[in-house]
Amino acid sequence: MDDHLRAELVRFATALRAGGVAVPGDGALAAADALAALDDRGREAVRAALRATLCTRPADEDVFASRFETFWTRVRGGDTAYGDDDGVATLDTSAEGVADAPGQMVVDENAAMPGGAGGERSGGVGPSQSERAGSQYSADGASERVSLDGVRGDEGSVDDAVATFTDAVASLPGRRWGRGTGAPDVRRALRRGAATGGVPLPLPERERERSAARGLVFVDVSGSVLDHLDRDVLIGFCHAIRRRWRRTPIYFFDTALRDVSGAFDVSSPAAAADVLESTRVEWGGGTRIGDALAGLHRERPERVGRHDTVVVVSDGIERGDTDGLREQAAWLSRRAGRVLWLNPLAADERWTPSAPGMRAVLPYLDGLYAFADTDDLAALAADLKRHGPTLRAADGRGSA
Amino acid sequence: MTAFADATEADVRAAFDRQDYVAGDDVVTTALLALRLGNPLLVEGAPGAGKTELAKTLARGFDTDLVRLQCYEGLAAENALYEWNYTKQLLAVEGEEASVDGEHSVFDEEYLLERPLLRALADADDGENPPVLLVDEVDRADEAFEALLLEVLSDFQVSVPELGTISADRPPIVVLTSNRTRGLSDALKRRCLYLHVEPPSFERELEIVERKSALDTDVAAAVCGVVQALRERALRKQPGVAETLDWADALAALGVEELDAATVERTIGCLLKDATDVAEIDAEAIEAALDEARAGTRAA
Repeated sequence: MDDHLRAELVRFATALRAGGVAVPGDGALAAADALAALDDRGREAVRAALRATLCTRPADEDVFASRFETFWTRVRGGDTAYGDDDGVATLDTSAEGVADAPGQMVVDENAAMPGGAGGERSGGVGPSQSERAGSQYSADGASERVSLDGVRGDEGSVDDAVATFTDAVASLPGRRWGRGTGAPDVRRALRRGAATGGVPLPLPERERERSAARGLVFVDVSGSVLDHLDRDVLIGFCHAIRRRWRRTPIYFFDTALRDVSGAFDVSSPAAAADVLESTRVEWGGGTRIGDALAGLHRERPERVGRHDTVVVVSDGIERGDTDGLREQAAWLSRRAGRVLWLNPLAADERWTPSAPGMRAVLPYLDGLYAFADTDDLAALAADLKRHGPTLRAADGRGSA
Repeated sequence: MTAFADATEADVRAAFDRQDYVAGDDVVTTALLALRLGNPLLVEGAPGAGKTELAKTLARGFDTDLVRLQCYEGLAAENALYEWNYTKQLLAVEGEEASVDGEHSVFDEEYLLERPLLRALADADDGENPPVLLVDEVDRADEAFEALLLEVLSDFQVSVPELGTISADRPPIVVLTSNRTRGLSDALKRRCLYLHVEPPSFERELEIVERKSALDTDVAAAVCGVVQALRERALRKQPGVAETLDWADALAALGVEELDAATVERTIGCLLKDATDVAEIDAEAIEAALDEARAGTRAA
């Protein structure tokens, strides 16, 4: 159990006492023991364990229920404050802007249920529908097997959006310069001039290198992302990328890194979902982006090439060391042709990149976009084609 | 059979399933924690909610003994811990088979009558799993007994002055139930995992009735619908799951194939155990409950 969870347990016990709950003196300790004894630290298991150790009267149920929502948000990285004695959790607006923690900014009445298709998003404060329905993840919890119960998304629209995205990526000039006709190449002109003793020669020119769409897709499949990203769209996205891009490995990561490229070498997203299920690929654990990138850096650095577009799908809520994440993001930036970050939380217009993990990686990104459903994917593809990679989403204006 | 300490959530679910005990996730998780942590489990809820059955299910599901201590007002230590078999001691002394002290003392285990708490500790090291100790309706016992219980549950040992201390290497799994007729001490509650059992939803109650009774599904649904409707009323004694099952068994025994007002009126005694409540639920109320049940069944 990490220090963050321990600290939140103590805060939770204190908040319950403040709300009039008769928490035993060693309640937080007992709660920690109970959580340590759980295999599955999903929401409902954690709720039951904490209720068993911190509550001793039926009358405390209501206060416990309302403050548990705050605990659950906080333990996943949110900044929601415990409310006053009325037991209602309130938003801590004293933090720098509206933070990008999931429980703080997105209420999703029709959101993607675990294993199901999503719907319209809307703003608000409080637990998402999927949380209320008992989504099974936690900040440092274990992953669960992929289970989609059949992909039901609109495969065609995802594929169309990815086609536009692919076209946009393929037509983007790279960050590197090559010979061309775009701008004078002063360095080559000086070298050539020196070599000829200063004899004037035609001025060499250069332009940004263009590349085919190829690269690497890095998908954060932690519970916090899966609650805000339509899973069917995600599978469709990965499948279409794998099919349309050249030699593009696809990695899933939460607390562990998994190469799932082979699962998408099938005829349809539904078949890919079947492969993921049958090969017992797991998702929905906590988030350690830096560790996942470090794993790639350590074991397969050659997979990131200078012409590659690295697409990272993640909410940037890092539960590991942000310094390590910063180092790995810098490495990725140096190594890759460009780094595009697709953030499911950025779909909310009030989102700003104030989470420590997101702040750490932002300087190393070429593009930052919202990506929670097919519409976002189509919008970011159009935006990318029209304006090239931008970080405008960081200004809270979304990608559209 | 799986050892308690190695039990997983799936093991607990399977054990419940084998015993046809329908439990929610919170009950499963809390029971799992009781097995793994070895903490006593305090289960509160209305009578008939399935508290006692939980302990029985754990014992049967994990193939171990159930040691039950039924609490009541005036329950004393000798009824819960141990007593000396005075008659046997007297006969032994008179027959010169044993003496009050010396090598063949009458203060030996042979003359000891183990009561539930001691038996649970003494048997704890036998078999693959220790027994499940059910301290039923602990709220009926007085506070002096609660203090004794607290002491036993703290150390899982009992001192018999003439014999020494009897302790268990593997403490029993302790389940305490309470109907909340009085509040228990904070000290006792602090040592326990707490579980409050709420009346089940329509769907869960229907699952219970279908598993436990021979009623046809449609009649079972009507039964559960009526019970749910009655629970909405201000009755002095709300019908619990146990009463629902009693009623279902009664209807099955009568061969009821359709639940109508007349049948409900004739058998309402299985469900309502208070004269005021029976008087309150007249023909009109029964019709209303049946209407609500039909509407609820259609919605479900």
